[in-house]
Amino acid sequence: MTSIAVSVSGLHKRYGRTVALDGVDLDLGPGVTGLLGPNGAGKTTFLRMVATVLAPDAGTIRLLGEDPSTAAGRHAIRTRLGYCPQEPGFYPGFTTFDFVDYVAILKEMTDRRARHDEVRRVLGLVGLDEVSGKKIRSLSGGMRRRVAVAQSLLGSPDLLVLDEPTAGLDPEQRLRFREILSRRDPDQAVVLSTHQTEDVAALCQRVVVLHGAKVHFDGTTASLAAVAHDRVWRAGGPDPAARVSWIDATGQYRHVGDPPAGADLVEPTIEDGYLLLVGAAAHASGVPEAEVA
Amino acid sequence: MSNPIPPPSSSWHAPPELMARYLGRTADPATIASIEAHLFECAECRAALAASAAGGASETATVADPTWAAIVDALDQPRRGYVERATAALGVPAHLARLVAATPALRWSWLVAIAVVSAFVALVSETTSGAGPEVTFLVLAPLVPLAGIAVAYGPGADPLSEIAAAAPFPAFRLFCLRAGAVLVTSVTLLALAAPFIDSGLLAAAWVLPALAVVSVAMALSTWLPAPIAAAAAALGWLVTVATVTGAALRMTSTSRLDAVLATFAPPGQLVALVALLVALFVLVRRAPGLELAPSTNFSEVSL
Amino acid sequence: MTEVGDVELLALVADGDRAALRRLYERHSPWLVARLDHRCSDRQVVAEVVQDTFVAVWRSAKRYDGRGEVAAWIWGIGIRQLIGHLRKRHPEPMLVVDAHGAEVSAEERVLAGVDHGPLAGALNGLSPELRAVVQATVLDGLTTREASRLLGIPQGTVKTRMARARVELRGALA
Repeated sequence: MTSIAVSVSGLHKRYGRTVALDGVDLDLGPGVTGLLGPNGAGKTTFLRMVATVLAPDAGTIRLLGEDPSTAAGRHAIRTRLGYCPQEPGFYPGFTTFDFVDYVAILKEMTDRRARHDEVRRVLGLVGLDEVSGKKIRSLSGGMRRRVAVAQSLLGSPDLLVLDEPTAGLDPEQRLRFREILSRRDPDQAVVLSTHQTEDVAALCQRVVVLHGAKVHFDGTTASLAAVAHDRVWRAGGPDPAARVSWIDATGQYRHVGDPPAGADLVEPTIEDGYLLLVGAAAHASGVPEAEVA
Repeated sequence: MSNPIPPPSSSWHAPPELMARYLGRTADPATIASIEAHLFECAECRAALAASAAGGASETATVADPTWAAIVDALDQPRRGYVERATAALGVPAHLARLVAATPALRWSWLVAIAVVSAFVALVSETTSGAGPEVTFLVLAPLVPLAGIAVAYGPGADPLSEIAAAAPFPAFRLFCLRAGAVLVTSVTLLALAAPFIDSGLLAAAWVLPALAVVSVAMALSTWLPAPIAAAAAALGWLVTVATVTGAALRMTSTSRLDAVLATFAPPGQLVALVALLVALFVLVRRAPGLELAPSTNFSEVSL
Repeated sequence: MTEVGDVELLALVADGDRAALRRLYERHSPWLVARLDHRCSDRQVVAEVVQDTFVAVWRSAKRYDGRGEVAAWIWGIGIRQLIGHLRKRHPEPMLVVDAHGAEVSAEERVLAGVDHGPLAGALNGLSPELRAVVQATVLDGLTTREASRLLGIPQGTVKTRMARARVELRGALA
């Protein structure tokens, strides 16, 4: 029984002229892995493949030790999979309970009593047990997202795939989401996508940077920050040596790139590492060696 | 001799001994009556009763209370609409009935079926005698369930399709369940309406063709998107009717309407039966490996 | 007990607040159980009736018109649920014809404030069948039809027994 939950190699996918994934190789195990990258980087495409919803044009995938190219393999994977898509849809008129119960039926929980207990359990996990009788359309956006996350937790899946689970959530809701995630089973493999580096810092042990249909980084969150070691400095004004610059909260310039001598170096954050990789990739020249930890 | 009846006093409360007797069911009828009447008015005594009944247990006892758990379970029960109850009544397992009944698109398709059938019956009662309405009915009846399936699977795809795609329940089985529901309702409606339109054997002549057309559509949907498959099957049916009618007109000299009826003659019924069996065979062979993409296109997922 | 009143709780329940239903349940199910216990000896039936009563409270909370005590409204639902149950399950009523243990002395009754003079004695002096009818129609507020269903006797019998009870009570009070 391998502990590698997701193993892909040579993944290719193209939509018409757009290449969504261009030769992706990854191995993901237990723990939370963050998929970081700008919109259109191929994150959703990749996650859909991991969720067995989409097939690649080329390449191999193994999920939970099974082969999703066969119907039997897909079925075996899906019984141990939980998926929360980017835009979860709801039937109008459904209550919270109705919706999660419906998905539970799709997960082949046929015994009514046991199924209802499980629905109550996952609603409790996301803190929505008091509103199980409320119609989904009467809930706020943050609560709806929690309902969507709740259905993905049905059956305590070994592989949890979450596409932009924190999109549109305010900081308090983000915090609550972190709490939900922290209650998970440690053997579970969680793959989530985000374009917010704070989510990665708070939630993930590993991070994969996906940009321009390619993987630019695959390692721990600490080593992503380390990519920008000695390459972040502060200054009072703009600096042409910087690849990426912005004004931080103190009104000072923060530069990421090749610092000039005597620059005021600062501790790199994950965001700095990310920007260095992504900004460099956008320039298509002088791409730093991605460190695989 | 008689004690004056004391006026209702807001300060009277049931003494603990009487309460205990009441709870122990050893109080006399007058006491019972008094206490029960009093409990309607006095929240304090209700609380006192609750406390002594629970033996001083705290509020959290409710959480473990099996009656409360049963209440919560009853409240959580998804409300079963009439559609779901009807489906379950037909012997479909409860969880499958739920899957069938839940999609809103199905409700529209049923409304379509009802509307078409009612229009038919109205049309027949409006027009005078003549074989026109009967023949029209026979030709168009097989298309009603097709219309239902097309509406149920048309644009505006299932909002839950993404989540459903990642779930173990076989996608094609879900489609068949729902298409089956559409089929059963439309066929039933048509069967109820048919005797009003023609009281003879002709009233049943549309059944096999209808079943054949729908199963061909579903077999086709293992290659094409469902609405297109339905349209193709509909077209195929109409072309068949036109061809047979044309041939009958050339070979015999009957009226146009009677020529159309040739499609429903016993040879035609046999052909319909064969088409039905072939389509079912294709379905059974191809169905297990199929996925339902969000565009309602069934395709073999291969790597 | 005056933190949130019953009427406010019921309004919250009408709005779909399940925590409010739980508060109502905590406050009212104990006396409901006791009262139903005095009318039906089957504990299982009583538990089911209580369950169905609170589910009915949840569903019909909007229909409480604010007149009378919430407790009385809940009892109205409860007793009718009991009638429904008894009709379904048992052809004969599972009615508790109370057998009281020790006789309570008149003095004790006066001290307890329960004694309303001869009325108590008259009530106690009625035969069980007559008392059951009085309890059903007067105390539980049932119609003749409902009382006949609850007690498992024809409506005519309910009326005649009520008449006899009235005669006896009047006689005892004279």
